[in-house]
Amino acid sequence: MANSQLIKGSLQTIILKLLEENEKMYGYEITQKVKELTAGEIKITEGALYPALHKLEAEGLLSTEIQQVENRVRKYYRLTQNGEKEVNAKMSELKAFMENMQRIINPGLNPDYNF
Amino acid sequence: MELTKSHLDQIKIIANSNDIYYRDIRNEWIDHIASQIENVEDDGKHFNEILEEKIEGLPPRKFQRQVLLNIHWGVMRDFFFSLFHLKNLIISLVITLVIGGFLSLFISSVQDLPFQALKTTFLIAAYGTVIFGFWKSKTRRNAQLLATVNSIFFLASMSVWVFHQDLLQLVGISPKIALYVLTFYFMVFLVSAFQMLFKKIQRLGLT
Repeated sequence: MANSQLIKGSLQTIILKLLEENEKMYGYEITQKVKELTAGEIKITEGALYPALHKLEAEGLLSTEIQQVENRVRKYYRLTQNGEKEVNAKMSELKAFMENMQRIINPGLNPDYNF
Repeated sequence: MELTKSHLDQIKIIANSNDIYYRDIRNEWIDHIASQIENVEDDGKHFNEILEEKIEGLPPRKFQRQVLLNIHWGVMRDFFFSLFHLKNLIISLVITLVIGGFLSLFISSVQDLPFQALKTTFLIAAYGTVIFGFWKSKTRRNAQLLATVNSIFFLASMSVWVFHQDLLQLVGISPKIALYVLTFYFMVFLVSAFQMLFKKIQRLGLT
């Protein structure tokens, strides 16, 4: 399983990117999607996910929508306009970081990531 | 595992007995635990056993505490950036010129009075904004709203304490300029706070 500190540092980027690709998602769905995409390598804990989701909502990067699902209330998150801008900024930041890491790890290679 | 109404009621009772006060946090916790249980393969395990396992992984009180803390950080960050919005700055500047101009008329005769009047008015307006938030939203059980009014209350109280006229005069700023500076800061604060709160109430659909 991937290092939890690394995941913690990238959690907001992961959330924003997933919401960019999937119009709206709820908390549990996000944990499952990450698990599915990484074949179980990355498991986002609920204790980290929900505080991050609420923080992004408080910052105005996410908006929410409430739906009644099987006798309970489900809260869906989606990107706001500011959130969409933030995805691009975060992805550029991540790309630059990964390129720099690649330079450190493999100084001979020329990294070329496509996002 | 299929979740029955009585199972769901049991989860709701646990949320209530663990003092999850805020509806938005409570609903999310219930939905998460319920979704987890629904996705457990039915291998003959008793519901209570599964429920206990899932609650251990996401203790309700800890969940509420962590979420609340992060909402407060998020709101404060959002508020900080809204202080620099051009629109807010322009509105505040216009109000400052009017109020500051009026108050500065008295500064030569009664030095401290304009500052006291300014601070008292600021605090009344800031606390009034908080009360307006609760009145307009008709709820005290939304964590996002609570964090917004808490932040306004806390930052307004701190501002009066930190931004003091003596401090400005100590660095060589004249009383008249200090009055304008303080008026401008308080106006930016109030305009941003009111705007943030109003937006939040609208976004949350609490009206």
